[in-house]
Amino acid sequence: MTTSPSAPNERHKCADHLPGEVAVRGLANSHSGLPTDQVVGDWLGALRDELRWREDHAGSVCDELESHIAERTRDLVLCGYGEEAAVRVALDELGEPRAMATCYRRAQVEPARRYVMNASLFLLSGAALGLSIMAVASRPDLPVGQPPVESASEAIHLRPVLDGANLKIIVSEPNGLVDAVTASRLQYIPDALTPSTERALQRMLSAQYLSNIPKTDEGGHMGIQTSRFERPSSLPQVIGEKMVTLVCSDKPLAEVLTMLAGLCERQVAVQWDAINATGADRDTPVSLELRERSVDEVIRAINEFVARDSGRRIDARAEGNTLEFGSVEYFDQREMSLVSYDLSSLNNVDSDSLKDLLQTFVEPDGWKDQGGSMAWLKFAGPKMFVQAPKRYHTHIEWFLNELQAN
Amino acid sequence: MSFPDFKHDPTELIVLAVLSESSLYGYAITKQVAARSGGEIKLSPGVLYPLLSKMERQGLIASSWEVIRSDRASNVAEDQESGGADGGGRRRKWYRISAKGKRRLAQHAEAHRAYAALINSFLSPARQGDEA
Repeated sequence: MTTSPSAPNERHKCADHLPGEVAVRGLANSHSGLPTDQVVGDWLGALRDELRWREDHAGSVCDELESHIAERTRDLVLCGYGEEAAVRVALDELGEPRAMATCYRRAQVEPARRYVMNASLFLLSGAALGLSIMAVASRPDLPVGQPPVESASEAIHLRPVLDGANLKIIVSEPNGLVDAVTASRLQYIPDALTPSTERALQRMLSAQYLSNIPKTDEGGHMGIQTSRFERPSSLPQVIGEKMVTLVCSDKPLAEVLTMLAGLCERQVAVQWDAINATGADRDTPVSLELRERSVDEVIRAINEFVARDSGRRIDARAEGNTLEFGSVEYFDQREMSLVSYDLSSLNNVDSDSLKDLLQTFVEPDGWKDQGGSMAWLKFAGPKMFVQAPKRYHTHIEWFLNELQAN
Repeated sequence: MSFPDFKHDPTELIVLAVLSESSLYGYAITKQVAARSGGEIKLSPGVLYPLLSKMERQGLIASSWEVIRSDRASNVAEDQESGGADGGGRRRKWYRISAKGKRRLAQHAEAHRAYAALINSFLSPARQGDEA
């Protein structure tokens, strides 16, 4: 059961596209380059305008939703989303400001039939009338005048823990509230958490949400620079970031892939043998309701169905006028390459530490000397030779650039 | 024959049930419901928050605010410089069930049980002697 405004037969129908909504449609997706705070502020401002309520009332609504957005964004980042994508998902889940305002206004209006029903009850039973009067009289006042409770300190603490095969991030707030987020979208889930791996994970999760960055006496930071690896799309930007709408219910995977290729104005090619190896096939049912989402996001959503049991995902490549779908493993084999890296500029990194770092964070299951089947890494003099799929090299280059920056 | 009143949205029952166990804020309610239903029930913000507003107006739940000092440390200095109204934090709205809400929850639960019993009566094995 999904009590979502966009679910079929949902009584509230608060996400129906309303006339005049075009002006704010895609607000959450039109923020490329804008600071995320501004995107959120714009959304809340649009909601405030649509509500047309007293300022204090509208302000309370916006404050509550702002807090929701902040926490939802935090959870998505902990799951592995980039911050901009996390904010976009959080705002998409809220829907358009006009639709949200409509839901709020409907919730404030008593249906006429309820008054008729109550009146009937009053006539039939004096006890019902008495209970209603008592209920109205005992309704607790909104604590508008009460001073807010302040948090004890300014920090939250993140702690990664392993729960079976899942990596959970325990979020502890100063007020004692403890929450757990499953980091389902992280590329790397360690088999065990050593102190060094735990520290590396905390840095990797998101510097913006860590609370244990020490401050100077002046209240600023100690100047710790952070950098996050953003895995690039396997598709050209013009396709991967193309916004599409794809709505289907229990549609066979073959049709969904054809639809997606059509939305990208490409012919479709599917490596079914490779996809069958993931456990999915032409008839695997897929249900999606994605509106104005990037093609990359759509493929990730499709993988929710394809990779549900096997954990093996499909991927896509664009070649000429064709959008080709296959498994990640299929493309890895096809895109294998041998690359030499000149390490002479890395003065303070020994080869053993570098190998350990790379094989811990770059597709740890793929290295042949660790039981995998994809990649080799060897050192010879000042050079490192890596035979691996293309996406491994992208990740390795990021690490080497980070080490070189030191 | 008359059926119990099933016009009540189960969402209200679910929210009251969750709040009867502990005070929570909106986002935590969605997570609690999803966790307890194994992901089967997802309360979207567009449904939940207007419903909470309605339930509060009806006196079924009460609320209080908590100021969360920014957990994004880089924002603390900015808020202090701009002189934010609450000194630089966002506000989180907590909800708790009221006495009226507890009564409403009991009514919902009773109606749900009556309905479930009614449906179950159609699913029981045929009485002995009725089989062909």
